[in-house]
Amino acid sequence: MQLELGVVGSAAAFLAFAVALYGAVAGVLGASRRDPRLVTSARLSAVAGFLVATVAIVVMESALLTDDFSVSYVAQHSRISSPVWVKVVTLWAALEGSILLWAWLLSGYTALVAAVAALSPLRPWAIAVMQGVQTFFFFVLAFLANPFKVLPNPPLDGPGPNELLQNHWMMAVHPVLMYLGFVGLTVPFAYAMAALITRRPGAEWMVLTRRWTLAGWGFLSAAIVAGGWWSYEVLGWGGYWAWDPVENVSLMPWLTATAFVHSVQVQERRHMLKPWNVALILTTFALSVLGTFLTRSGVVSSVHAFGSGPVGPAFLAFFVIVVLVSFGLLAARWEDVKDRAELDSLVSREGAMLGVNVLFLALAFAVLLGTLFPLVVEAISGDRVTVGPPFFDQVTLPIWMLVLLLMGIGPLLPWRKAEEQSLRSNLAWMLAGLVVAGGLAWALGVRKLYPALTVGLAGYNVVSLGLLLAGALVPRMRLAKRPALQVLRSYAHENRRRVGSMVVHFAVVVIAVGVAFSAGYRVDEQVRLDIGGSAEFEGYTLTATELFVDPTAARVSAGVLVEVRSGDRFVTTLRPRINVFPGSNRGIPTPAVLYRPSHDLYLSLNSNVAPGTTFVVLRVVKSPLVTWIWVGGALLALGTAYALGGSTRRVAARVSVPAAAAREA
Amino acid sequence: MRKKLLYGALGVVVLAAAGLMIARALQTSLVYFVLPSEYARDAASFDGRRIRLAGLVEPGSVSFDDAQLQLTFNVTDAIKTYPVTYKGAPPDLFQENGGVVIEGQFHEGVFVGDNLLVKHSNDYHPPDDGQVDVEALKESLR
Amino acid sequence: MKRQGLLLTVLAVALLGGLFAYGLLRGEPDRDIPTALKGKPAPAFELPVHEHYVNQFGETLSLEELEGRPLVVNFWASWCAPCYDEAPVLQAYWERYEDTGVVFVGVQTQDRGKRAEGRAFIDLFGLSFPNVVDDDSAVSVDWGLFGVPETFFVSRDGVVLDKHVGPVTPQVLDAQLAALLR
Repeated sequence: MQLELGVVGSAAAFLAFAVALYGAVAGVLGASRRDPRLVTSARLSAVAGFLVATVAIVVMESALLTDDFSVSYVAQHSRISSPVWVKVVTLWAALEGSILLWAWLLSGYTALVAAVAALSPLRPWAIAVMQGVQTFFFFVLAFLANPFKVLPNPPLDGPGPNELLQNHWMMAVHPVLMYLGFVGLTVPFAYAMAALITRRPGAEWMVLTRRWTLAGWGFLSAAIVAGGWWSYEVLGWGGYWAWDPVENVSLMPWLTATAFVHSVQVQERRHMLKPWNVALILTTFALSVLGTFLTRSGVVSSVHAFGSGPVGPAFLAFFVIVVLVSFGLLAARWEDVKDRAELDSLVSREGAMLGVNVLFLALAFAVLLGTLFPLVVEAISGDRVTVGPPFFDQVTLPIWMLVLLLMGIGPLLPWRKAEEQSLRSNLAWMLAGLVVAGGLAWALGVRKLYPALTVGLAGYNVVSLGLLLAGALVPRMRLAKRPALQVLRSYAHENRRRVGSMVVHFAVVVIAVGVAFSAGYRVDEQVRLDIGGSAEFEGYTLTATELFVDPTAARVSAGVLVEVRSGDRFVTTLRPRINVFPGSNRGIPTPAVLYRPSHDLYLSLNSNVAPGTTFVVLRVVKSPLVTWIWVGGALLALGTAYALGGSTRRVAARVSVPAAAAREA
Repeated sequence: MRKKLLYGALGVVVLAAAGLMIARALQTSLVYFVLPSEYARDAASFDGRRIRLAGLVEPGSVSFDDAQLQLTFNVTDAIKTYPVTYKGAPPDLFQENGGVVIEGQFHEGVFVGDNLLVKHSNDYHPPDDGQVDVEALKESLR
Repeated sequence: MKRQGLLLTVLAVALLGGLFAYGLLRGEPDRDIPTALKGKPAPAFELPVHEHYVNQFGETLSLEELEGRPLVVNFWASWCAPCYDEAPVLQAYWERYEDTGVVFVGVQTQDRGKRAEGRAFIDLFGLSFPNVVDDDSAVSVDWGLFGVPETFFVSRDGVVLDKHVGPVTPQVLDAQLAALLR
């Protein structure tokens, strides 16, 4: 008897749910009764759960790759003529599949924690919490949104995934990065819950999860930048961030996670800001659950949303439970968590971290408010409103500027209390950098406030990084009497975290400048080109030479060849096009981009292209310095990866040379 | 004790400033989504503000100057009709009697739009007895 | 602090939860969507007939030929999974209502070059009402199709009374056929 793939998949989903449920229950019982057998059983079930979930993934990919339309998800979202890579990514192209991917990654992380996490009283509770979250996701998968349903009459073909998702290879990368980020941040959340439950809210839970947190944060950062680049290349308006509700819900956990990544250092060193840290990670997890709810419930309308389904109420219930349980527990354990020591002075590393927390929390709150406001207004007055970029820009830009300001001075401040002398001298240098850079920008014609200010702050931050490096290297050079480069290499090797963070901060500066200029000096016009005719745009001559049609098995493209000249010099030929995918009448305008260090030239078709068309209307966008956003993003990922490498070192044993040098100077 | 008071006061000031900034930003940047008849009822309150005007493209009112890239048409909900101009080519799905949402501002009686969104499907035609189901029309254009 | 904190948490969650519940309950757009075609004459078409029906209807079937009879026009495609769900329902209702004068017409659309698959679809469900082929999907554009499956209900005088987006169910057909035959 041949076993239907759908049956195997459904069985795997159900089994994964059962195993996760068992693991959660066994873990809780084992941890509370201190029964090592139950605890071990729970750990083993975590690994077993991952194996079962992997079976489900393998089944789904097999069904997709073999065009098995008896599996309902394949029938609804795949197509025989799609290229292999599209079939592979169809796994997460729609609602049920995305839940399967999330659940599988979660089971993977849980298994990894069970296998390699250090032994500690927190571990069984942390694993139990993760199993609990897993239970929910597999419950939704197995009972509410089962992609493995067997169709009695399999259709002969399917419609293929949403056209926008077939149009670019980034579909293979961005969602996976995003889920790796969200799921990765479940680990510190689980440990925080474990810390609250076991009444051990000291630095232990954070030290244990430091790398998990940084990795999750790194994935999330990369995912957000990658998503921006994907939007840029695909959506046709020449922008990368629209403050769309679905974009916002990926940003909010990132904001609180960034605050968390910084704030935990204060707890490690000075055992302070404990309530902040716990609250930040609880908020981060709650916001990521909120995010999955909003994107899968139809509550907010968005270009990116999965649309409404039966899972909406389930995710809402889960969100309510998560927030009630986690924050309720925090409130109950408040006496354990609250700080004993007080800040010596605001002008110190701790003070700066506190500032980071405040600023990023403010940003997260502003974004949350803007995202939910239309829903609130509709609930109260029935009016329909949109809250768009003007609100978010107005409210967040000043805060971003403050963040850049703090990012420069924070790492230079010593712990406890800054010494007037060194602080003044550092600040003087940095402000000089700000003025010089800003002045240079002004002189070169940058008259808009935010771009000029951003350049100034970039100069300020570069000086700050220089001072940091000098402060670290100069004493070492004096001690070791070795050339700078060697000292730098060994310093970088021994202080991966520090150097990684310098790289990341520098990357942030690069991104900030890219964003400021591409937003502030963007030129966006609709240009009409006769076939054979030309038009001028921002120093370029665009000539539409001919129409073209390019049919492949996956799609039919129709577009126009545009020659781009700068003055007399030929630069390149761009091919903006409209892609039509089988199974749909909808043409997807697919832009063509000329990437240059100083600016991008972006062409997107705004009119139809058919045989006999005599002219085209192109949307032409020039975005200065936009490429640096993607470069900065890559740099940020590299810096994070670097910080993650190397062996874990005990915090207490580290000699803080910059502080010593700062005292000396 | 003094430190606590200082921090507390600082916190309050910061919160107040933030609250004011947010409130002001909301007020000036909220974009209301209205049908022509709704706008007509309360035109003064939208004076000088960006709105999203939603309705159907009135048949026979569309004209596109493809040299100047100027699109003009009337948007209607069978109760009230307004002229609209938009600089740019009509999107693929733009058609007479089709649903359209245009974002912009009124200038001397003409709606000057800079963001044109076409809803693909969900056309609406009021029943013959003239009673417009405003909610259904609005819902279909969300 | 403990009690205040707990209270605050519960309050915040209740507010947010209530807001989102409202968002969920706001409801989805009605599937029996009023259409711009409503009350207008159905767009004419003349399409080639699937081979099963050639003996009965000839090589092509036009809307004109069916004048004077109420119509259920159902658009489907071979790659459309929900179409496979509604086909048996349509066939069952066709058998029941065949003698009342209503004509069911199936239109295979958005399925360029897939005649053989269309035949297989018809064979699978033993559809005995006429099915035609809209190879270039021009008719689906004329009728303002959102997607497949979509079913239109046309009165005796050739006026479109209503349309249903998505697979038809017995409830939908009961209601619509009652209206058609009134």
